[in-house]
Amino acid sequence: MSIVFRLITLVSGVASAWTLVKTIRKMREETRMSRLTPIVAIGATLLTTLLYLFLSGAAVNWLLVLPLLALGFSIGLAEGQFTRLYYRSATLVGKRSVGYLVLWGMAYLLTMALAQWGDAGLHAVGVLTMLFGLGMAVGSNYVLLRKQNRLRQAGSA
Amino acid sequence: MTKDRQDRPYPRWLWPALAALACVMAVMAMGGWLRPPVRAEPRGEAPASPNVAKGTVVNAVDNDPANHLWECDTRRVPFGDEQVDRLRCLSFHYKVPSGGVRSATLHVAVKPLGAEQDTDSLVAAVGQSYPDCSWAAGKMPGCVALHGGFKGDETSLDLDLLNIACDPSVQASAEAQESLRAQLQTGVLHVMLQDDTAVLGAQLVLNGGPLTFPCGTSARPNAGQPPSTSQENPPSSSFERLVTGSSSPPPPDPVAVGVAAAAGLVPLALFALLNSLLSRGVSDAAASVAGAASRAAGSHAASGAAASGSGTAARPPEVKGDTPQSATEATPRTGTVREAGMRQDQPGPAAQAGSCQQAPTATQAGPRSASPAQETSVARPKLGPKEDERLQDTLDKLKDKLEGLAEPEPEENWKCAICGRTNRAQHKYCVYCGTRHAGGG
Repeated sequence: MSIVFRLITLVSGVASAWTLVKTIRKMREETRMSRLTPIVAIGATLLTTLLYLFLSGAAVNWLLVLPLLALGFSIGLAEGQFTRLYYRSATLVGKRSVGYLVLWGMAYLLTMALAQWGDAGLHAVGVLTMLFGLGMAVGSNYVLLRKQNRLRQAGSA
Repeated sequence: MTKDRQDRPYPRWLWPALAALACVMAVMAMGGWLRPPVRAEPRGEAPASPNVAKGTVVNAVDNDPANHLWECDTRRVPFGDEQVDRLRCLSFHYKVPSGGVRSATLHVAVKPLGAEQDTDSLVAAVGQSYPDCSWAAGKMPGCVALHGGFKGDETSLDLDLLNIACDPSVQASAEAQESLRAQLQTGVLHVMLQDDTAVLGAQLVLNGGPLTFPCGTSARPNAGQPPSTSQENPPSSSFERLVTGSSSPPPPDPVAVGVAAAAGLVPLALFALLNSLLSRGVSDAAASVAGAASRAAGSHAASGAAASGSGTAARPPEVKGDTPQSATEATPRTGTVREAGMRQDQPGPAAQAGSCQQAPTATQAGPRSASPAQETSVARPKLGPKEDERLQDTLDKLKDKLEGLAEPEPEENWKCAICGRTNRAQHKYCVYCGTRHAGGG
């Protein structure tokens, strides 16, 4: 039974890696920016992290979670500044920074791999890195949202 | 070399993606596939040690507040603590195996502290009180004595909990044995050792068969492997405690991880889908703009496109300031911009619109059979991101110009409300910051 679920993990890991590579490639291209874009990015990373955290029942030191989220958020705020938004005709477009998704995705895949090791400590390290990446995702996309609002207001003025 | 890159039939990201996948699979293989599977066990349980043929091994915890034997609420010390006259309160939590507990052995790593350890006792909480253990029950309903007295050189205690009479240091009644058996079927066992013998760790082995060590105390370490909850490996233990927040964290459950990994695919797939849709929207818009540019430029541009367009495509156009370029130059360069970011087997939008139809794609004609003009087109190098961006900016400017041709131009140059820089009258968008001109239509 355990082998079956290990296979499921492997297949899911490969599919997740493929999905993440495709997403990161798309994000590096010029993309139309809607208000939904950063919200969906935050939602996807948040939902995936929470799903993993609660379904896997990973033992994590919750006292470390908050500082890591805060640190990731700060770095995400800085990373978000590198995203360039501009108008193409009347459409707001941009090439988004992908650093947070690369880090978060690697942590996600590594956590799944470490879970196979059977070591609770290593597994917890992977989950904590995912949470750090989640903080970065929130910070980076928050900046994106603010930039968008500023540009839209300026454009409509 | 450039031609090799152009001709390769696989996308550029394939090798990095494959390498990443190989790394993940290697880690997974090293971590899990080459080792025996970890059992899915609740809190406190651990994989069986090599000397236990089968069964579930449950590690003891030293901090369960539900253990109220004797004075555990006020005088307990953790595993490894060598204070005398203190209580070592052990608790085991486990999922009762299907079919019930058929065998249960207790292994405790001990260290007599050189005080009055010969009067020490080990007791287990049960649901009924017995006279020989009434002093130790504390706030628990009752307890049974499991062992009495330690000697200075003893390091381990091994007991068969379904045959507590095997230890000659206690005289257990059949009733006490039945109470302990009933307690074992509940999934919780509280034990207490008082009070001059340190406990380094303890394990309870369920359904692992009868005791394979001499019942009672022993002067050599039991099982060749000390219980994993002890503090005999402080670095990893403290690290694990730091990251997990628990002294005995459960190992990752492969079943739960599999379910979580499969569930995580859903939000990731939705995220990828949305990204794809958004970027497709921009590509379509760019294609329609390029198509409009081709139509606006007319047949004059189409006739010059094959020669001048493909000839200039090898190097990106130089953009000096915001100098507008003529509409006749626009069409071939528009085609170049689109093709720079596209696969070779896809025609650019300008080609779709008819302006670049004379220039064959790589799949239509090989480089050896092509005419000189065609060969130039086939050998067109892939542009870097910066060059691509510059070409994109050029496209923007050309698009502005073309839109300006279709609509009446503003009469005067205008100053951007955001960056304050002056733009030419024909630009509807600030060429510096992209802001739309308020009066530009």
